[in-house]
Amino acid sequence: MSDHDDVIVRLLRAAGARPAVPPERAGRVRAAVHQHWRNAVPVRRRSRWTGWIAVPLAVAAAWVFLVASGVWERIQPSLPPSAPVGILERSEGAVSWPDQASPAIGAVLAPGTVLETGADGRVALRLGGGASVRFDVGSRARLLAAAEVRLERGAVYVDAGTARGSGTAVVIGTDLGPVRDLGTQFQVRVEADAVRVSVREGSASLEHRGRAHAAASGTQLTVRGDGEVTRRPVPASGPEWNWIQEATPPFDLEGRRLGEYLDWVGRETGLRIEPAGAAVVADRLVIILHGSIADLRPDETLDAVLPTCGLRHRLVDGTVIIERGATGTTVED
Amino acid sequence: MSDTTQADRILVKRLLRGEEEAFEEFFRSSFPRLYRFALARLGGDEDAAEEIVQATLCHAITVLKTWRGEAALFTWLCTLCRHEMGAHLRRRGKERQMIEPVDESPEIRAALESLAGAAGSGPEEELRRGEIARVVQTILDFLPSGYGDALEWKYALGLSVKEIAMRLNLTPKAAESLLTRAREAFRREFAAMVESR
Repeated sequence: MSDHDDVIVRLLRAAGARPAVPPERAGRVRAAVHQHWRNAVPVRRRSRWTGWIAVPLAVAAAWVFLVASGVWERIQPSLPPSAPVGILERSEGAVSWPDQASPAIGAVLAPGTVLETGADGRVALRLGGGASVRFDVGSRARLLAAAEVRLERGAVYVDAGTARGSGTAVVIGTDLGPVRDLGTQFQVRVEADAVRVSVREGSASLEHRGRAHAAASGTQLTVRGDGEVTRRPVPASGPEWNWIQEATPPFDLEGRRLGEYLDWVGRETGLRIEPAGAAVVADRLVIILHGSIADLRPDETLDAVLPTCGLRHRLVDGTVIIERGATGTTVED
Repeated sequence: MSDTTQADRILVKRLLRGEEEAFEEFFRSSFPRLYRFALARLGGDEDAAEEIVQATLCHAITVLKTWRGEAALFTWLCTLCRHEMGAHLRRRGKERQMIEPVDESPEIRAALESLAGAAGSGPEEELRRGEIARVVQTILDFLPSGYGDALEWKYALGLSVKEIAMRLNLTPKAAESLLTRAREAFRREFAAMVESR
């Protein structure tokens, strides 16, 4: 190595790594730019599709084709001339559709569709406005529009994080009033003479008797039929939210960056993901993942994915710390 | 035509053909560098940087066919980004002036030349070290992304040549060769920056 090289190496070591871009910002910009690019040029897709990975993409393609071309209206003449409300992404356990035959995964759902989940049934939908919604066991709901659901019983979880660009807030109708999405992640649970709204991220508002009751991130709002309103803190992860992972639509791991995968785990579990050290921050950006994590809960996938990257994780008080090292998982409270 | 521009031309053709892999390469190599470019000029306003870089990349895709390859693709993106930043500031009624980052300031030469004295521990030395770091990181951003990444992995993050080879899908020998070329490219850019002041 020359003297010049020696100076350069000293410079580089003294400077350290370049600051990383916050993953959530990168994710938002990537989604917007990618959509713009897809609109601007004809997209040539990979020619080989296998297994479950093809499902969400086929669903998306079907959605775009049906809605954009108007074919949906022509092949469903018996339905009112309004846009489809959503797409079925996942169905587990006992689920019934009182007014129609059970739709297949990827089926486009019409306005007015009613669904009921049994004692072990859960459903995940992608609404036309872009929000992801999940129904817990023992729920009954009617899909009214691309951003409107009537919840008659049970619980619904809404993740509108990817739908912010649409400008359409999701509305969950209940007997005690509508719950409006003012943020991105929340769940609504209808109980006997009460509605509970738990907010994981952003905020939501329940309108009852002409008054809006807002709940911010980390708050559970309870409104009773007699008008009593209470609030209590609720953590972003834990028993209150665990059922959501049982209805999470599959994540397409193949070819995705480690950072994208970790963002997904964080979003689905409510856990904070924290890289331990600059090397792991770099890994988030440069490691490309391969394989499948189908049939695993989001929190279970960490044990399957991280060891293949030479990483391990520790769970400390609601935070998943990702670090370099041999396989192993520890939980510290 | 330089190797960089030739590689950029190929990437642009693939982008215009609609190849998903090309988009991933384009975004992965452009976005972080462009974000840092904007952030340094917007006084650390992360929301503005995000908005402007998104607008820049969308605009770049719209006018991609007009890129002739006279300059490197990233240099062209920086030009578009400057225009977006100017428009952003005009929309805000020139409430704020664009920050002049250290790589464009007259103090750069002194800061770089003070490298030999950067081993001290006083506040002045700390400041100089910070300025040097920003200059070095800026140069890394303007190198072809493979070069900048490889140098950062090797010297800032301490990865081995073998690990770098795995990340770049190269043999260790090819990775070593790339590191040599990257150091040379860095030396040229560093010298040019100092001499231009």
